[in-house]
Amino acid sequence: MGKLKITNIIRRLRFDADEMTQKDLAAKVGVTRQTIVAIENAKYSPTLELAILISRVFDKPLEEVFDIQDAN
Amino acid sequence: MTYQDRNTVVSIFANLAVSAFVILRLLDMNASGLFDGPDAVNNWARLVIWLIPLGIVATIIGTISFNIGFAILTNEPKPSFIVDERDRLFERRGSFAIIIFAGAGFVSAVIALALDASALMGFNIIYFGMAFGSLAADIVKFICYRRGY
Repeated sequence: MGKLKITNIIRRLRFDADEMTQKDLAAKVGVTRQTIVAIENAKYSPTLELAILISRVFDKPLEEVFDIQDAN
Repeated sequence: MTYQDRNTVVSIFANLAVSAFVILRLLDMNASGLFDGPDAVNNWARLVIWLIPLGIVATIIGTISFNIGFAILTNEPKPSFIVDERDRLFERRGSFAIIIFAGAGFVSAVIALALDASALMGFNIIYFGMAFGSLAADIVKFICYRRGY
């Protein structure tokens, strides 16, 4: 198994949620806007706790918001 | 720029300022002959003991000034003070650098003492191992924030 990467569809979900800003999402889950930026760009893998909180904001199951892919 | 990102920048400058002060003060004390007699280690300790409050005060003043300056420059009346899991991850990565430098400093000091270096030299090696470790930790965190992960 090669290096894995956590990908997500947060950007699209924000867009669908009345174009919610990164700042608004960050405030809802209690992190900085920069953390949301890093997660959206798949540069940072959130903890399970944060991933669940983000999924709940959009009322989606965790596996629909986040996915795991081979980095290569 | 997050709150912890700003603190990291302040800490880098505070570390550099304190280290520069220590080096200049050590050279000055050495030139004055304070490290020549049997009280050399005691004189060194009296300098270092002042560095603890000095470093804390320098960091507090720097943090307040930088945050005020940042709020003015970015026109953000209420800058965020949130510390999240990503900040804590970077903190742990930085701590690893401190452990490496402090450990290397201690081992170097033991080797230097075994090779007949003075106790003062041993203490200096340990001190600067920790000081550079702290600076390296801040640099690691700074790089993490710039790269974004």
